Amino acid sequence: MQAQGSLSDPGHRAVPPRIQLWSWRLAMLSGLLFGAWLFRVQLLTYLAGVLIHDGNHATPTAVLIYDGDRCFVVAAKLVSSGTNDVILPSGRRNRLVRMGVLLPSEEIGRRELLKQNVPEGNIYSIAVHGKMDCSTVATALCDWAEDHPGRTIGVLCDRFSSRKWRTILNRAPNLSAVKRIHVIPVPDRHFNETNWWQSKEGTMAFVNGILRLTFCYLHPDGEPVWQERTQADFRATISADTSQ
Amino acid sequence: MKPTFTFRKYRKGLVCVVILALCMAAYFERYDILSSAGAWLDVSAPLERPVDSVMVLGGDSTTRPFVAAAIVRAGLANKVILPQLNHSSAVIDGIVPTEEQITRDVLRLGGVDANVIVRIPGPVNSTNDESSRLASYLREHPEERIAIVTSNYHTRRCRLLFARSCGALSQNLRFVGAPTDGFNSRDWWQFESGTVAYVGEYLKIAQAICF
Repeated sequence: MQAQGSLSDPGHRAVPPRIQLWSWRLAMLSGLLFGAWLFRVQLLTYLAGVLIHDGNHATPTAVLIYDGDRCFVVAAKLVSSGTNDVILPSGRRNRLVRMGVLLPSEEIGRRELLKQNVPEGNIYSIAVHGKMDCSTVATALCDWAEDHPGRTIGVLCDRFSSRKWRTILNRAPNLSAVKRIHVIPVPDRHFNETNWWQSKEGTMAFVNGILRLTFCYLHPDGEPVWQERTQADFRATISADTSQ
Repeated sequence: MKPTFTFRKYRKGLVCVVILALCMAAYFERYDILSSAGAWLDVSAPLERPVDSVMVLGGDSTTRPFVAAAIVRAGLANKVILPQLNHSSAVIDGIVPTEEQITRDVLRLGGVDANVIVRIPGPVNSTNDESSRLASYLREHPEERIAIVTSNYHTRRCRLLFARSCGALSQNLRFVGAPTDGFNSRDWWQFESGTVAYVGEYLKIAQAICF
């Protein structure tokens, strides 16, 4: 019995079409993997680029410090190049702050800015309701921008969180205020989008950035109420007898 | 000609139907699946009897030292072991205190005497490093029973890594899971930090198994 595909060469042993198909698929996959390996630097750089929003480069009249490596130094440079106000968000104190182990974040920020010779009179705090995260800070910032109509505001944030920040800002209801706020991604001293995969810190920042951005897209309404654990919760984890 | 039903003929259709059914089942049961996935990471257990020491792993000084202090206060351990953690950029710049200092302060305020806190020498940058340092410590103190305190979702990977590093001595270890602020295994996917922690933990487990 003659197999398909052997008509032109009856003496040659035919390869069944299913095996031919799988060979072709395997060859395609190998080619794709080889291509991905060959262009891995460009691919990985492109992937990290998805996390970054780097738009307006004009010096803003006010800058809000959220996070990012050496963000206080960057803020001080902006002040020296024309920015008037530095805004520090002030949220709910966590238990380490309440116990006096850590200073409140706005107090740390104020101290660091003074070290960088930013005048005390240029530093402001804005109250953030609840747990301090991008959404609550963005809401507080939009309210501030509404009360200060002439100002343009830059938000200093970690470079791999800048896309998330832009996405959250774009969801804010007050478009006229949002238009005046732009995101300033702060680069990390150890890595950037062209070499993040070479260090543990960079890889962690990239993976966390992807997860955070995905969460941001999947949960446009934000998070439920954040609740801190109590001493009773801590005691309960070690032994049922000592939890009383 | 009489039509005949053959599995081969309808195989692709059947596969599609099965995949679709599985996807629908997964969607409708997503909360149970996600809760189970979260609970799977937690292999911690309350301490059934006292141990000699309690080791606080680095990574979350807002909760873990509080559990360690509660263990000491309850008389379940009389020594606290701390790893020598590598410093973050903010620590190097002098913006925030070191994590070790924060942990020591919490322990002190939690009623733990500073004299019972010992540090294992050698810098650590990961859970794997911590397990290697503890393995060296256990080789010098083979009789010592130690409770490892870490976040509850981190205990499975810890058990894996510490068992790998400590070998037979890992039978002296107990894993105590500190609850995290905000989220737990039943609602982690509703919180950004929960998603980062739990999904990241699965990725790290995969890395720990593969490499």
